Amino acid sequence: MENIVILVDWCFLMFFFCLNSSYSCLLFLSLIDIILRNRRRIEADLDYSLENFYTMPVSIIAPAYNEEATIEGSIKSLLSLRYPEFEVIVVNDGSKDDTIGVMKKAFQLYPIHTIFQKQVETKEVRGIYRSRIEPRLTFVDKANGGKADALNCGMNVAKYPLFCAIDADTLILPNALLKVAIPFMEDPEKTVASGGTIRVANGCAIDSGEIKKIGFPKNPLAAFQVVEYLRAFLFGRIGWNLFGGTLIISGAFGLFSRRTALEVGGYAHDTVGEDMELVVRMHRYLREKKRPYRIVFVWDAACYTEVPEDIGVLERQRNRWHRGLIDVIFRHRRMMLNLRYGVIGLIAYPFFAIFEMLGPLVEIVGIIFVLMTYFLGLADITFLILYLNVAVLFGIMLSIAAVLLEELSFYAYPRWWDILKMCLFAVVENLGYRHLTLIWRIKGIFSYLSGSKQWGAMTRKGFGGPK
Amino acid sequence: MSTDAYLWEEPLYRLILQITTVQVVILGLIVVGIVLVRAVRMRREKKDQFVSKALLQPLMSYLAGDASLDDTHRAVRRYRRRNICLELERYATMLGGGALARIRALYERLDLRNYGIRLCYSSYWWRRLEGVRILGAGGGHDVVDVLLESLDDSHAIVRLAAARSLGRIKATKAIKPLLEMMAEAKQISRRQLAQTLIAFGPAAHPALRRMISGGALSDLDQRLVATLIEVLALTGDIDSAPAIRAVLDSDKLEIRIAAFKAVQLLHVPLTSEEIRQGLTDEQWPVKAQAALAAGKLGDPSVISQLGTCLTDRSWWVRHNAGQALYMLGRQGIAELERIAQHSDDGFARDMAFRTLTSDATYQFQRELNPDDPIKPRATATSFDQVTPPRSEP
Repeated sequence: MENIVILVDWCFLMFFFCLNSSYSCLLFLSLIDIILRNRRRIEADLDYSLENFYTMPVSIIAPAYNEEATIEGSIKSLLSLRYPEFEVIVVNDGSKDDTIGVMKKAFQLYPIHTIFQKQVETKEVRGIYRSRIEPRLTFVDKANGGKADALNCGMNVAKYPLFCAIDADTLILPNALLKVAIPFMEDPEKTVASGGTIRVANGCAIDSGEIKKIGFPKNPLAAFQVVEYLRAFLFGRIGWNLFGGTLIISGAFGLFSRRTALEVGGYAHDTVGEDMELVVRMHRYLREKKRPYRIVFVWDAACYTEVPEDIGVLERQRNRWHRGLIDVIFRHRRMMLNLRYGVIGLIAYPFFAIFEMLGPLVEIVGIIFVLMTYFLGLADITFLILYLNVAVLFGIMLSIAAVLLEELSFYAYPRWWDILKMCLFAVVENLGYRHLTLIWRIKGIFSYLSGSKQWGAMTRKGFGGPK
Repeated sequence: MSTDAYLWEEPLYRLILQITTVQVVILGLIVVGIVLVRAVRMRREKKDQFVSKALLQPLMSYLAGDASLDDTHRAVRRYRRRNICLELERYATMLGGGALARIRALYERLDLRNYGIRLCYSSYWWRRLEGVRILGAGGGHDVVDVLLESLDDSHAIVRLAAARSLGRIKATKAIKPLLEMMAEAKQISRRQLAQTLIAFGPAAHPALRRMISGGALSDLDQRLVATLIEVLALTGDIDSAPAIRAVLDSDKLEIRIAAFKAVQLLHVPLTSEEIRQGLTDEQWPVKAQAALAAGKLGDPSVISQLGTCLTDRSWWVRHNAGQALYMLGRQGIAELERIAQHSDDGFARDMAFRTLTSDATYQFQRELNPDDPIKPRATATSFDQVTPPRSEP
């Protein structure tokens, strides 16, 4: 019996070791990529792309649901992007608040009579509006059908070959769209999607949709999320991108080939992880068709989003994300360890299934089990130290390394005090916050099993005035 | 595993504790790394800001003609040449004419040309990149050979920067190597090189014409030919019209598209037959470009074909056909009105109506026909009345 318990303890330990070692590999790859690319970051090249007559026009689709607090600032921010030719399509997904009223007032919208090709089925469109003051803006008012439905509607209305899916509360940095479009200019035939980095807007001074000053959030929950986002984007996604394993392009900022997205049937309505699902479906479809393609992550194309400062909202968000992940993993389970899908099927997919989907369950059960065996005298103190070393110290090391990557890449937080706080939160994150998110994710597993497809209410403070 | 005391003496566990120590050390190193990176960056930023501020006044005075070359030389020579180059390059991209000549004079005086050349032979690619950029911003025709050598650099970014610098200097000697480079380059590099060729302007025309009309056309990649046609069109080479007309019926899609685009830009007169051929092409991008060409060339004999294009599956073809009909004036607008009110095809009605009511065309239409504004029957476009969805090619 004792031997079995020790064996199980060691299994949990090995799980953590494999998880954190994989992250370390990704971290190492990201570090190299960031250092190499820092040398190549030449702003003049962006100006060149701006002038270049080959830069492909983009339709930016911003689905909005109860976004009256942030919509005006976000759309102004979008309209001030540096890009040669683009249109902004705001899709009001049956908001219950005054989103439409705010938009009408801010941009002097008027209804237009037009038709469009319904290439993907969506809920009823109530009306399309144009702006008297901003010709690049189109406002679509439709019945509520969820984010995926709104994005599909935007795809139907869009007129350009590329579309950029964003959240209506996202603030994209002026050069970010240009940066994220560069892979399409480099290889227009093969590139089907590219995504950028999402950063935390809480704590930043924002005025009229423009980030005036970047600051570290005062709210501890938002501060934890800063470190989390750094980990997720700066070494998770950069690392995967290096060997073509990008499975997620965040719904908050992604650029897609409209043609390929329509070919695969647009966003799926029946999932809460529609952003990841579309990317995985693209991988699957293009691999099955044996078409050469690439899906790219562009780390220096950044946008800022407001993260939840309320524990209930954050819990709902994490629950939803995890349900989305499980749904995608199950939906495309055929790809798992399937040679036909190359790197995706053999490495990325199993990693996401084992470490991301089942990880929370194994981690939490592991912690409880190891502590229990220690207190029952079945495991010794050395093993406990070793376990804490691999589970906590390794995690702290990775979080702090993410701060180093932040310094090497964006160098966005100007004050020493911000960096110190970030390091502190990177340590504390591994001593409770991370475990809290794991519990929420486990709840997500149970919600998924119970068939829940709810988004959960999200409240925003908004970017209204300077903070 | 009976007692803790025993376990501490186990070699495996001692090793584990050593690993822990190593981890703590790594953690400490990462923190030191963060501090160092930040300190170095802050120091560099502060220094750059200071130098930039210090250089701003003398350089601006010099470029405005208020300070002499000698005075400016005295004021700026104590700063690092790299900083001066950075500042000058910034102005070089913004200014032109006399200011550019003054920048070049200062380059000579500060011996930045030789500095740039030295950098071009560095073993680090980022230095070579800096070198070719410096030479592009301030070098004269005597640095062309160095830049031509850089076209063979092992690093793609340096090669492209060298090409751009050659374009900036307008070194005609570089056109042939650039075209050769283009033939072998990837799509993105090719496009950047095309942009460089545009910078050469008419000087590049003879070589480009030779390339597209020569016997080697069939051996060239269709995308390269299409790019070259676009460059000719964008640089306004009207003499290339016969060569462009000759490829309107090419069996290569990209070439046909580029040729119809070039026809629009250069206003190459086409026969009605040639336009009709484009409007009935089996590929929608050709049809879309041919429609615009028909409108821009003002040939009313293709109005009925343009009307047919308004029922096309592709939005772009319908859109361009609508624009073309509008461009054809009274007759075209009459056709648009007819389609907007009487066509059986909802898509054609919609596009015709949208064209007629767009800000640009509405004024024009009212001027032509003030007493008979378009009837709102064409707005029979509530979303449920749309004909079954058709897929966009």
